[in-house]
Amino acid sequence: MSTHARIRRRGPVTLLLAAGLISAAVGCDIERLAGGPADGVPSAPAPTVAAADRVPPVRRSQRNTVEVPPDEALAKQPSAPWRSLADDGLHDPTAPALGILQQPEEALSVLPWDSAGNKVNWVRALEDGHINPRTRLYPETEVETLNITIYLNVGGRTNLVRFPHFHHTKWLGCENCHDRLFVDQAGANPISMFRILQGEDCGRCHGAVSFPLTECNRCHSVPQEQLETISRRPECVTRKRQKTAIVCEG
Amino acid sequence: MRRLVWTCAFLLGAFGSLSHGLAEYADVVLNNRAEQAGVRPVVFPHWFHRIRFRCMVCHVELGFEMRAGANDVTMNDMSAGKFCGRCHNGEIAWGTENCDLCHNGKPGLKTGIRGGHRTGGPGRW
Repeated sequence: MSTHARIRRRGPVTLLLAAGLISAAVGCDIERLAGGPADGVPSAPAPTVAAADRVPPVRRSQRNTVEVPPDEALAKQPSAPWRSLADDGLHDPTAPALGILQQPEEALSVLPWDSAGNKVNWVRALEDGHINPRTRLYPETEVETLNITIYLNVGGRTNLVRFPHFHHTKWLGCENCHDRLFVDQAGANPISMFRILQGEDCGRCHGAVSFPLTECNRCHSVPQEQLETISRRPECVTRKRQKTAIVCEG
Repeated sequence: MRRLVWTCAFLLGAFGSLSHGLAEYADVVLNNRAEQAGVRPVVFPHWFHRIRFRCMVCHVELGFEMRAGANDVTMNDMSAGKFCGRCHNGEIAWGTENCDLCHNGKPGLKTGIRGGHRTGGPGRW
């Protein structure tokens, strides 16, 4: 059998296996990912008044009128999910200095709640002033934020990925991503969920330290139906490269 | 064949659901050198540090590669003010003479990122 014939024969099986691996690994609801608006999605319980008071809504740029799904992370879980250091499976309970270290619950329970990861919405914690981490150690280090949003069309019925440079550059420097992980041309990077699940591309941080890969709709947040509307906005430019990307100021 | 595919997918899913980390999300175990040198592995808590420093401080200014285990850091480096030693010098944070404050992991842990939330992300692979 020729190589081509073999590939053709095994193609569907490989594809199925890949899809199975990805969906099993992420625990992601594929229908939900492709289904457009999130309003039909069974989501977390509505936030209580107390929780809403504790966690004010994220301030969004006024120019950004794209609907994003409601934040599912507002509901506060009743029990504290943070393990003590002596009980977390990593620290040696007999280590002499363990009692001196800060416990996760002490630090994290006072920050805005999230449903995933550290159970902390780190972006909100920073932007609402709950924390004020240092931006640099050396005075000569340039710190800048970039207010450009990229909408990446990954094809099919799958929601567009909305990538806000602004929130990322609040934490990271340009050189963390460019050009080590991504060339700075929107749509030119061979990003795929398969690579991301292996810890490449966005998966360098998401799934390791930033919100995990179970949170599909936080990135795939814009329904395909809005593609035309966004591309017609005066502040947006469409780039057709390996993938189609819409680059918007603000 | 199809049955095999679904079995694989199921097993992977089951494995994923069992492998929830107890550790705090993004905790990093550093044990490339520690136990060989006779001390406990280091457990680096990302959560603690990101409250105090933005990612770029360590991952740009201090030169830490964004991949657990990819940074070959020695105590000599730290004494010279590099990597952790830039802050752990007794001024910004405790000095490197306080071995047990960092070297407090369980013996036998392997280097890697822990505390996965449903997906272990790179830590799983």
